[in-house]
Amino acid sequence: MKELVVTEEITKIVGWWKKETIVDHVSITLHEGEIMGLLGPNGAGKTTTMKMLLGLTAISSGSARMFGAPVPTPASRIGVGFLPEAIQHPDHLTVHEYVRFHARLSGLSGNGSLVEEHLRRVEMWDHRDRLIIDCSKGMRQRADIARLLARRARLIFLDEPFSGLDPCGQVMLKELLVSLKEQKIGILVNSHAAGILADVCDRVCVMNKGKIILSDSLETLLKTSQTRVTTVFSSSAAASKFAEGRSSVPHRLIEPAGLEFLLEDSAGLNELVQAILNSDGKLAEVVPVMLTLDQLFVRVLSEQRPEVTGGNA
Amino acid sequence: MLSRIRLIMWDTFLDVARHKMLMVHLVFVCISLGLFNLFGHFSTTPSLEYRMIQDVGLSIISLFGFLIALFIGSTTLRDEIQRKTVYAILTLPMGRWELYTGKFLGTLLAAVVNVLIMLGILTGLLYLKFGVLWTGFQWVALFMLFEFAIMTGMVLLFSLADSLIVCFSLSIFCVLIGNMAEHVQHLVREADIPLLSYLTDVVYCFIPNFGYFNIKFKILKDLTISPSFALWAAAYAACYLLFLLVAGSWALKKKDL
Repeated sequence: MKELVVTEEITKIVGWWKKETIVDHVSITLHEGEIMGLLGPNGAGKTTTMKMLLGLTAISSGSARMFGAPVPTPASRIGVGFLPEAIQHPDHLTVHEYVRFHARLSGLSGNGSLVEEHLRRVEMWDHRDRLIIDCSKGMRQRADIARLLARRARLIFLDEPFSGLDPCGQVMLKELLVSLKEQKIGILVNSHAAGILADVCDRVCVMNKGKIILSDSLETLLKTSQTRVTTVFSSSAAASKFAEGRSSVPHRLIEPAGLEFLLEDSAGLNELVQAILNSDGKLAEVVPVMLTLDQLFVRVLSEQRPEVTGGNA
Repeated sequence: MLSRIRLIMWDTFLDVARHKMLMVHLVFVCISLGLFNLFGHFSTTPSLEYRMIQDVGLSIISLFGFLIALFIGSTTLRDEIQRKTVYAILTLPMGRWELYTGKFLGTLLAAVVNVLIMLGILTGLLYLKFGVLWTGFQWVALFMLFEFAIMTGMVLLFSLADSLIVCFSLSIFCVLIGNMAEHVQHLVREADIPLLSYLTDVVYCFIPNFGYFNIKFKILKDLTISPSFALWAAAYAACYLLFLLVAGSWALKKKDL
């Protein structure tokens, strides 16, 4: 797959007297047709990373390329679109004028059919004559997506796009992102809403304090070494008796006569399964335990946090 | 490239022209100029009254022209950066100088149109009151356009500073010092201190000499403006505007957004 974005150890240092590293040797690669999530707490450096790629902020060290051209040359931004967080809109343009203005700035003719096509796609054609500042947040965001599509963006950067959207708006935006992905458009999404990112992203980079601390495909990141074994017995007494003999393995009773075991690794799996089959229990399911992205995020950040030592001796 | 600059210029002009604060300024100008009828009580002859109205009218226009330049110059680009609307434009495959040039030209156009409107109101009032068309109007308009174009360009450059107070302070300082150029240079010559003279020359390389455009005295005395003087003022204005454009483009390029 074609690489749209390649960064090598990009760093951003700010400050005159007291230097502060906002982004610390970040390397990421984004391919076409891929949705990558940049996940991290506030102040992790996600937005600054995006701004460096877009040429809005200078890179202190390291290098980056987009579409094969070095950042921040204009050539690196051909086919790039950006939707910043909490963007405000001009108060003198209607939805239609806004999208057409940006289409014309991109060198396209801004003709009616092109703008109409994209406004219809995001369900904003019926609101085309409204002033864009009079539209709701979700509507303005859809107008911005139409703006990006109208300029034939092949790479889209979204900074906290789900922030402030109602559930319907979130669902609509997720569906839109998936449809853009199917058109081989590369998408980089910043967010601290892990649950939503998990629904759309192929790969996730977790950032904290300017560094990338975890980066892999979503499936790999969420997999754990744990296995859950669920079994059903003929009676609760039989279930309890079986559980007594397996007290070293974490388990819980499931009404009316079931047991659920949680194995930390596969070492004891065969033995447990054999024991169940030899008893009067029936195996209901044996599944690997997957974390949610929220759980992974919290776990990773808590591992990052320095330990708080006790008070006076 | 040119089409992008033209688009940004026109969009900037429309954005500024529709701003309510501009309407407020123009209303104040109309009210101020409308108070001219009071001058009839203080003057002895109609020609004296005419001169007084011209004098005060031009002073009012100078003041409001400066306020308008300060307002539109300080808000045009700064507001776009704070509202992040500039991000959508700068992420296009274009240089930041294109954005700055479009903003520069659009802001200048808005300032020019406002000055012409104010001068048109003054000329109209004079004609209505005295039935005499102001013959020196075109020179006044031309030199005021130069003056306010430079003021607006300067304020636009200073608006790239992080603080609005810095922008206002630098703008007011430059306008004051620029208007006192001849007096300062005269005082320095009288003082006859070489270092002071050198420093003054350096300062006035960067701060515009608005004295070149102050032809109010000549207009009120019905003195003629020579074409060579007008050409010199036009060339000075053009060079200074070019300097402001280059400086602003460079400053925007270096700015982390």
